[in-house]
Amino acid sequence: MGGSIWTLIGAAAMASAVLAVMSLLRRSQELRRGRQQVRAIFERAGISMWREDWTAAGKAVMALRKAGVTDLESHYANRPEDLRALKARVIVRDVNDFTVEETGAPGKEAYLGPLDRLLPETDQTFVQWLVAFGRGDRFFRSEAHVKTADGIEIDTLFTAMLPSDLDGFSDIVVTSVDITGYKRAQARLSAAETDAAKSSRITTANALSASIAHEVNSPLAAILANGQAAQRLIRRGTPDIEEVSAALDDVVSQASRARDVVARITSCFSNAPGAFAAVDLVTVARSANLIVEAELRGLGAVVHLAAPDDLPSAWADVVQVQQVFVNLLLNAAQAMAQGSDRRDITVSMRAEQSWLVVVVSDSGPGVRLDKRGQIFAPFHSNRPGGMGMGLAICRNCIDAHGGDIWVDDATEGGAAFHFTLPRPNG
Amino acid sequence: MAEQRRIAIVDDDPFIRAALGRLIRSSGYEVLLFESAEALLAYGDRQSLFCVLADIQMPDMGGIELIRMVSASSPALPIVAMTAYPGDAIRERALEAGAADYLTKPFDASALERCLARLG
Repeated sequence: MGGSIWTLIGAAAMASAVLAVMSLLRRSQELRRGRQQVRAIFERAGISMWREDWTAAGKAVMALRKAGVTDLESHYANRPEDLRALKARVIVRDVNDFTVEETGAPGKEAYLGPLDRLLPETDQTFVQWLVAFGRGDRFFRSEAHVKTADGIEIDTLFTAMLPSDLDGFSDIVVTSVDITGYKRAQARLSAAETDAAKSSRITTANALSASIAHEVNSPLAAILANGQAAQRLIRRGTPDIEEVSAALDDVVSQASRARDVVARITSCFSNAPGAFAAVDLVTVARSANLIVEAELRGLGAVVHLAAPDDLPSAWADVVQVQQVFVNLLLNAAQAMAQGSDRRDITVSMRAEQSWLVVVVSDSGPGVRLDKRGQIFAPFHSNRPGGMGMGLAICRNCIDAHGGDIWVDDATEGGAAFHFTLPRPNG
Repeated sequence: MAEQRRIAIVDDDPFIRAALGRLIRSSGYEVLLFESAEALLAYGDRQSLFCVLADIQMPDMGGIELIRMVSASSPALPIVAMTAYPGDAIRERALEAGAADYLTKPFDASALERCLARLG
């Protein structure tokens, strides 16, 4: 009897063990099925998906936060090499089948490896990922310009859920949508708008210059004719002094008329009231960067913006200051167009007593010492086909603010354009 | 002494009228001054003129219309168009309307004399 109890207990234990094993097997199968389903979703989703290891970037951001760095954008703007090195340490571990099919790549291997191979030198979004990490964001979305496996540059919209701890940085799932067609349509629309605006500006400028020419040429015609008539009259055997005197009176009156025309034109332009207000220069610089984004990318230039978090406002006319940034950014990019691969433009800002100081520096050939006094003059251009008005307009805008603008050498070669703007009540 | 050639100047700007009058007289011509296109058209002795110097931009009737009317009524009378506006468009319009020649203000005495010499 005792034997049969033990036999029963043994059988029950066996059955229980079998059930436990079966349950484990079932759970393991469910887990495997779940993984397969996730894998299937990853591979077959109608959207490009990437799995990326951002551990190095996560560690770098955490170390900087620990060291007290709060403005990551400025930190990396001053250290472009560190940023490039970090970009090379972000690893693409996997991409889904859709990515390969969509881009026509020979296989997944084309995309696997360091991220920097896929981001062009002009990429400006990488640092925004780091800023999002630093802020502790849980979601990131950004438009970026990337190189496909066969070297074609496309516009993409990246979206990712960001991890809450360092472990999560080793496997960030990023979705990517090719928005090249949309961006091209947007660029064509923008170019059409720009052309229309340019054409309108040219028409206005032509009409204006013709009108000014007429107003100035008329008294000049009278001055020239009177002057030559007076020369002839006075050289005669018997000079007609009365007529010479009348001609000279008209010369004087017509010279005054020409002077008044010029004064009226000057006053007409200089009296245009500026809309002065407290202005966040970082916002203005970013909006200027957006305006010239396509041109800068075409010239291969990268803009790094460095400003302290507590940068005070400037007392300025937004439109004029934006124009200054636009002109200086384009000027810097054009100066570097023939140069090396590294085409960095650094825009840095700081407060100095009652002024804000902005420096736009490039890594181009710089401005020769003997040219520095001339480059702000109208119609001075070193660029073939250039109007030579960009820096003259900058000077006019800065003059209107009571500020100063000058050029010297950038710390690491190239030109550094400095300008100052007053602070409110400065 | 041979009779002086007579030139009409049509310009709404009194200072240009007076200045050109002095200059042309100093070259030995007789000068008649008109302040408008209408004033020239009202002048009854146009056949006595050697030529007309007419400004293009004038209030009321402009120089182009004047050139057309004079070319139609007095085809033998040459008209030299004048303007202080830059560009070729106005010059082409004036020549199409029948102007014999064209001067851009400001012009100097030698340019004027070359122009008058071309008219014969």
